[in-house]
Amino acid sequence: MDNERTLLKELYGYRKKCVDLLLIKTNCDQDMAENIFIEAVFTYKKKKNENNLPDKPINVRGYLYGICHNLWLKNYDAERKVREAATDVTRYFYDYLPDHINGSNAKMHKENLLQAIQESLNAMGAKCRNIIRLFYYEEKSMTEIAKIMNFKTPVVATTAKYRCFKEFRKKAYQASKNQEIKEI
Amino acid sequence: MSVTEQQYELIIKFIDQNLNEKEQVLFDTYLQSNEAFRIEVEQTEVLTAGLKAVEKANEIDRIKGLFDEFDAETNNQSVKQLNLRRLVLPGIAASIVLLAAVIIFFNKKQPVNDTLAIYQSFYQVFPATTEKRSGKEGEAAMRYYEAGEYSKAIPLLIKPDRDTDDLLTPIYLANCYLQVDKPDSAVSVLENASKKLDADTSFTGQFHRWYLGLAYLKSGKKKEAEDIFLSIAQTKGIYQEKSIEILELLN
Repeated sequence: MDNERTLLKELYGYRKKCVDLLLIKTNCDQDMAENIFIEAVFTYKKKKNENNLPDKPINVRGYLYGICHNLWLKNYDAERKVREAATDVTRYFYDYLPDHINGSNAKMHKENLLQAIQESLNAMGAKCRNIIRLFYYEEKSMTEIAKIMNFKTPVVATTAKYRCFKEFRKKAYQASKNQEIKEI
Repeated sequence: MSVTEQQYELIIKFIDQNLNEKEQVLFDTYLQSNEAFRIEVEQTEVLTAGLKAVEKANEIDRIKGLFDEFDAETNNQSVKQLNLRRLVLPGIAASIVLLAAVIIFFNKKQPVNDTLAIYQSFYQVFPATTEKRSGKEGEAAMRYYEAGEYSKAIPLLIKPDRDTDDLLTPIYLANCYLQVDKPDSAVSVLENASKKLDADTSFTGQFHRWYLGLAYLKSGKKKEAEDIFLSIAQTKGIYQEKSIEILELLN
């Protein structure tokens, strides 16, 4: 956690330069530039955690701005494509949603759905939430999760993950009882 | 109609991209033939997409929160530095001003109204030359002069039979008067002698004007002193620089 904070503090140091560059080189406004930068930090951190940064030494500021610029292009396209994406979480949702579901009525209930998911995650025990997060969001292998969470074997971790996801699904359905999720 | 436990395990394995070949075949079969199964697959895909989106939004919020914290830390540091500057800089500035004032005070030659003080700073008795003075009295006068017995040297130096062409005698006599605190007499001797030395730029003439100026200072005649030191300062000579210094002090 201390390492993460140190990394974020280092990346925070590039904020002004990156935001200024975005303002100069694109037509985005200050708020959008700030948001793009935060998302670029998120992406950089994720890449670093997954060892997906280039092997050769990189100019962090330049690399970070490159992510910012790509995100701006993507967001620009996304805004044209999905004009109803009112919030960031909705935009992320569309990003993660498989293409074959894009035409479904999941979009119609996205706000309620996302709220239900947030509520169900909050209602879960720390251990279950952590294992779900590590597997689905951080995309860790069961071997890694077993090591991180002190499970005896990856099989034990897999069983726990299965049980936790079922619980999550149940809670999400309950939370969305009146939100027509089941109609999807 | 809902899916069975076995079908649900299959769906989770599909989501986790963990199906083996046999399971993949079974999954595809259910997907094409079982509507409840297809809906459950789609719902689970939506749930996992929503789960990732919510987690990402939470993490972005967390980063934003941290950045706000860093902003606050930076602002606090800026405020602390500003406060420190506010506290320290005036002190440093005051110290520099004070130090500069002290340096200036000690370096700058202050105008001195006390002409006697200036006289004391610059006066050195005119040295007795080895040159023999004319006559026995002349020699005796110089012995007294060299010995610092100026009061005994004075009557011998003012003897009317002294060589009136001896231009150094008035200088010795004036120095004796200055040494015995009779500056007006020194002024009188040198003024009379100087009449013969107008525009004289010889060494003797320079000595005359220099000691006349000092005699004016000791007698408190500031204006006369300024005039004569000004004339010395305007002419190249051995007392030029010292005369400039005296003029700075007088002004």
